[in-house]
Amino acid sequence: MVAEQSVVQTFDWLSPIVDCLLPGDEKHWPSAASVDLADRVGEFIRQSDDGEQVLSSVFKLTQPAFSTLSRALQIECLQALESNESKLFDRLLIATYNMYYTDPTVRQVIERVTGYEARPPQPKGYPLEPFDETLLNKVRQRNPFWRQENE
Amino acid sequence: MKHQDTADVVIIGAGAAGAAFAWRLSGMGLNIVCLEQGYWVKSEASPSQDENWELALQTRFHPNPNIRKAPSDYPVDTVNSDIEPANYNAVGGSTIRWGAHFPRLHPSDFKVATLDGVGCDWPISYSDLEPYYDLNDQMMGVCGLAGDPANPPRTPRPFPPLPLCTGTTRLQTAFDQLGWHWWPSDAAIQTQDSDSRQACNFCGPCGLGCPRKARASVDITYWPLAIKQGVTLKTGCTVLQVNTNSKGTRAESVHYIDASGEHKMLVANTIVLAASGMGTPRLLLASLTNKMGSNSSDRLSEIGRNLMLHPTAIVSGVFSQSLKTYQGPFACSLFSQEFYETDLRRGFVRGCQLQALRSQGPLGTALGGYMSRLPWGTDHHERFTHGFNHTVSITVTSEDLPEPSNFIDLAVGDTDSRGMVIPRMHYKVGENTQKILHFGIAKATELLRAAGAHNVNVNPLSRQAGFHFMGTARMGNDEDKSVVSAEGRCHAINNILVIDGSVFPSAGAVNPTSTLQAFALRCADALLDTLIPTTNDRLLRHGS
Repeated sequence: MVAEQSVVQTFDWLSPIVDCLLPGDEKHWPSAASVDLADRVGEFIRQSDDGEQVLSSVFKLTQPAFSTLSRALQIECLQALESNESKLFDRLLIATYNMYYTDPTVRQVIERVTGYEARPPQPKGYPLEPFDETLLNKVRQRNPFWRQENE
Repeated sequence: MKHQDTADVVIIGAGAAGAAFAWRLSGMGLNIVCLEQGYWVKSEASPSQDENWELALQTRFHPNPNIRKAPSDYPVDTVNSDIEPANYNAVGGSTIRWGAHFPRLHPSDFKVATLDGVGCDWPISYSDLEPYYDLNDQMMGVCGLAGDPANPPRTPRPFPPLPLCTGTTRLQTAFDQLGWHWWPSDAAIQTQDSDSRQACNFCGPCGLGCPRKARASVDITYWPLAIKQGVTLKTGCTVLQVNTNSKGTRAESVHYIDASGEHKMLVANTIVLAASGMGTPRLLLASLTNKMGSNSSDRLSEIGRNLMLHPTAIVSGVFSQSLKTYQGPFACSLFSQEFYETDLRRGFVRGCQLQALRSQGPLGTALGGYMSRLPWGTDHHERFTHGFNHTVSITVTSEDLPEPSNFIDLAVGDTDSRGMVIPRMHYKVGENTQKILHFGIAKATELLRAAGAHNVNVNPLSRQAGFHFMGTARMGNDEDKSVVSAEGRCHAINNILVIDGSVFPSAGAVNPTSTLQAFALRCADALLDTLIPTTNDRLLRHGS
């Protein structure tokens, strides 16, 4: 019981897992662990109705050995989870993506790499240009082609 | 039951149809009460202003009630359905969560049996709804451009159209190159300021609500006016039952649970169902099945049947260049109705609409957006870098036909948090619809290649696209094959009206909201004709 509770209260064990899912690269992208994602991923899953059950299942299928495995074997372990327990794996992966792509550090990287500003859509938005009606020059030459009720 | 109240008219559901109906009926001295199971959602507090705005789309603003699981939602059993429901339960209904694309049906959509030998004709025509379409466009603040050769002429749009972006301009060029029709979308989005609403600022995720109130939802359009003119709107109220007299020939009251959990009765002369093509048959079936005389039961046998959705394929092009498709309303830029009308050489009847979809934010892209989820592991970041902001998509919206296998019924013994039996969705994509989708996918692929996409990704059936529920209490003149009349009156129980998408005899291949609102406005006028027959009476009552 004590071990079961600790699975859903501390998420250190999730850190090497999320790091394997999103490992980062040398140029731009931080790894999931380097932005301390494990706690947020664990908490996000835990908040759902069956969250504790999901976490316990992931724990049982990956621990205690996961952190001691080579990266190649860690990948194999997660590939097996993805194949054999696809719904469970989906929950884990979606939570990991959810937390990674809403992390402020990652948002700054996205801005640097893609130009997409690290801010919410509102209140600033983007310029609303007028519609250019000259674009319609060709289609305006067509005769009406909708079908009459009595055709 | 301690609490019993009375009303002239009770409306069940404060969404697109219920709001329009309530407003049209208001100001005439009638006692009108609307019961809504959800609550107000403040557009000023839209999560589009928060750093975690994309997370909101995956949680409390997720379109699927089975995932969102808000207190005002009811679960939907989808074990027997190819497609998941997408809706929102609140004052404003699904207009809280929508993209505001606002097309109209074509005249041919009203006569599918006569013209193409499938489905059922409507007992009304396009011209019957046309003045209500126009009125509704004004009320919702629609932008667009008259003159589209694919549609009947329409009045000048209240606001000018939304502009194209880099990505949708590529599509426009390809449409012209192929000689296919395209036109800027009619959208319930203001492109200029008005007294109570600001112009769109092209932010993108309309589905999160609009703090500028540029994107319409009926909580900011119809409801403030209806309430000002005397309509009572009660939130947090779940209707459990429509009660009838002992013969089952007349509805007398509704039994509901209010926001505090108290059971109440509301006695009304007219009971109006506007709870969507899912919620309305659910309530009718829960209320009337096995409670009626045999004659009435026969006349109610069509309730829940003839379910039509708009099965949707999404075809996405990946381009080498930045497209800035995260800018601008995601669902509203341009559409093509080149393949809308029947052409039997294609091997099917009816047709489809091709509609441009802009792209999603970073999280939406990683989760798949309109394509596939990005792979985890070492390739992830490279795939993201080359995919994000480099895609534009086409939705293939297919006409759907009523099929015997597609219907709503009740999951007897399975109830929601308020003890109301939950609905079951039975839906398989029909043969004709499947052919339309295949055809549309091929055309969308051709278009995206012409636009310069180096890769085209096809989602042949968007599973989360069950946003339009139609046909489950359809209208018609034949009482054996329909549930309600052209004025929305239930054939079997004359003082029950149905005014939402349930009544559609055919689906068309376009979003239904403008049509169901126009129908609701027309039904309100028809009801007024019976309740307050003369113009003089109405003038006397106005403001009373």
